[in-house]
Amino acid sequence: MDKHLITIQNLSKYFMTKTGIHKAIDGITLDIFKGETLGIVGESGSGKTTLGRTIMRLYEPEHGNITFDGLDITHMPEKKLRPYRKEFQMIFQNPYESLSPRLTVGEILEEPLVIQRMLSKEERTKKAYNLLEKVGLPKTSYLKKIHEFSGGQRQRIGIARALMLDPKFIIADEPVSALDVSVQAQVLNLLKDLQSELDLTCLFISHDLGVVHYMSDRVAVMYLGHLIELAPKDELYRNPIHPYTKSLLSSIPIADPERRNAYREPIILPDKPLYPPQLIHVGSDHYVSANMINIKEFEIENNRNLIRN
Amino acid sequence: MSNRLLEINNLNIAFGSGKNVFNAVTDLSLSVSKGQTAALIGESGSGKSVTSLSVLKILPANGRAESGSIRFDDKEILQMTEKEMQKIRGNEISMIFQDAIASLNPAMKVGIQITEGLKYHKQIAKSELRTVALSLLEQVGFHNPAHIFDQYPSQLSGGMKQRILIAMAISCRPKLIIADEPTTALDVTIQRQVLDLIADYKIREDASVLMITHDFGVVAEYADWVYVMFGGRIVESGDVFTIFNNPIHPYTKGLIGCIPSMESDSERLKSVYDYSFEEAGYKGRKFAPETYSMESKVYHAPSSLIEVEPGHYVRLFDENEVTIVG
Repeated sequence: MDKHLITIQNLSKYFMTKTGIHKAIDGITLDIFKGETLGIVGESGSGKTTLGRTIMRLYEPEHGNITFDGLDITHMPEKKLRPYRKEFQMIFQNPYESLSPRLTVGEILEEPLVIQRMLSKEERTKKAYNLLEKVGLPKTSYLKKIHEFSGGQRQRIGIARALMLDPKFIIADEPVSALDVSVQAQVLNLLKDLQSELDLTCLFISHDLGVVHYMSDRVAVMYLGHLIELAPKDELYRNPIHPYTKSLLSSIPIADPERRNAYREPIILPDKPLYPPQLIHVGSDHYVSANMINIKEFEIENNRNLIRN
Repeated sequence: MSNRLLEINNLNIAFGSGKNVFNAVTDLSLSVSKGQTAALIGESGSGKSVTSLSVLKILPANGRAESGSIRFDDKEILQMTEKEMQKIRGNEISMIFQDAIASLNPAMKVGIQITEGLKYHKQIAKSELRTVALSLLEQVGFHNPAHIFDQYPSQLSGGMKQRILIAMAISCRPKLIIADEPTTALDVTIQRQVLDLIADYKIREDASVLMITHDFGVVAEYADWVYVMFGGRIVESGDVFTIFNNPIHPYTKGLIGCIPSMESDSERLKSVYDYSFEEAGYKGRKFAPETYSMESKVYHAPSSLIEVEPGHYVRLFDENEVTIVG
């Protein structure tokens, strides 16, 4: 049995702009294990949202391929893809724009089932009520429309909609960045509970390193369309290697006034390399972009032989 | 002569009229000492931005300061005429807004824009303006000021635009900078640079900063004094160490508890609903954010601020006193 749910190889997505080709993501190679949450961090413009949307097949990739549960879906025609679509769902960033204002919550929740022609009318309704309860909303929500809900409640509805089809895989793209901090905590807790209850595999995209740390098992760092570092969460936060990852981690304000004058890494924002970097394994399942470290020096310093991936 | 540069006492701000009056800020007192950074922290709708706008007397047309006083440098702001205010805005108090795009004129070179305040407030020869602008651009971290001078806002990134705003804000060397969520839309590495610039200016000029934010991480790193705001009132205040080491109000605890830690492993995140006054030893007192709304028309009457230890104030809510609103 394959332990990878998703395998991404050399994935690229380019956009045409007035000034030429913009390589939003370039040469991304990544595996997502069954049952894990993989966090993607990076700044605005680093390509993390494009990566999520390309995996969802909302964008056509330029190169590379995406394998979902052993099945190559990279260029599968939409009609053939549709039955598989229910396996991977997305939670969007902005719960104000991603939910239709004209439909009732019940209709929003049942729509995916209608499109997939699943279950009878009664069963669909039952399922919608079920999920409302799961995400902590009252039953009366079923007949209400979106404008009657707060931001946090809307995001709960967005989560419920994503779960209506019993997906195996969820992409959550900045699901809490539009919410106030105290509401954010509740939504994160809910997501985490649901994930372990339903044994979901999750790609969690966020610019907030604290939130990604809370949610993820492994974390991948993106920078200017490239994947530059990938490691289990604690390894990455304790031993960042890439200068950009270091800058990113040292930029986060620490919520402890006693430590405000502690040493901080200077902020280094390297230029974009011409070619996508090759990731090399430096031990402890930690991968880092080879462009950025002098391999020989690193080997001597750390007394390790690097294995090229 | 007091050490307090800005002192707000019992300020009430209301919007609307007749039956539709909404009290955005109630009985708010805060002060910013010379050379210090005070943080006003709260979530959207807590009234923190409205408070900062009232200091410059730039509230929206349907809002007004109903009572209280705002003293800046021993002058009463609320009694100043528009003409007197114009001498203060940008000159003695300047403001950095959250939305850098909306704060800049898209049709004017940024180099010209940052000298507008200087032209208005200071007697500077026209020939010198460019030199001053270039030096300001250098101060906010541009390595090629001459190039940046001729750019239009649309040619700059978000972080660069925010730095232009800072250059503009410090151009007249104000005594007080009000920074209203200056980094909310920015990436963390840029946030760090922007906040450091404001902190550098504060130290260099011995100026004061009133920082409006929702992020306790930012507060911990940059503020000396903290005011926590909820529902238009200050619910807790104290110096930054006290607030972090001994928070009492459930709302303060919630705001600190809901920050995911990157060091300890992930227990569940706490939120404001997970705390009560009971654990701090205040029996019978309750904080219930969900009932504290105009919608439910009921709220627990808040007590006045109580000094629980020197310099540390907390507002308790008394369960026994329930008031029906209008």
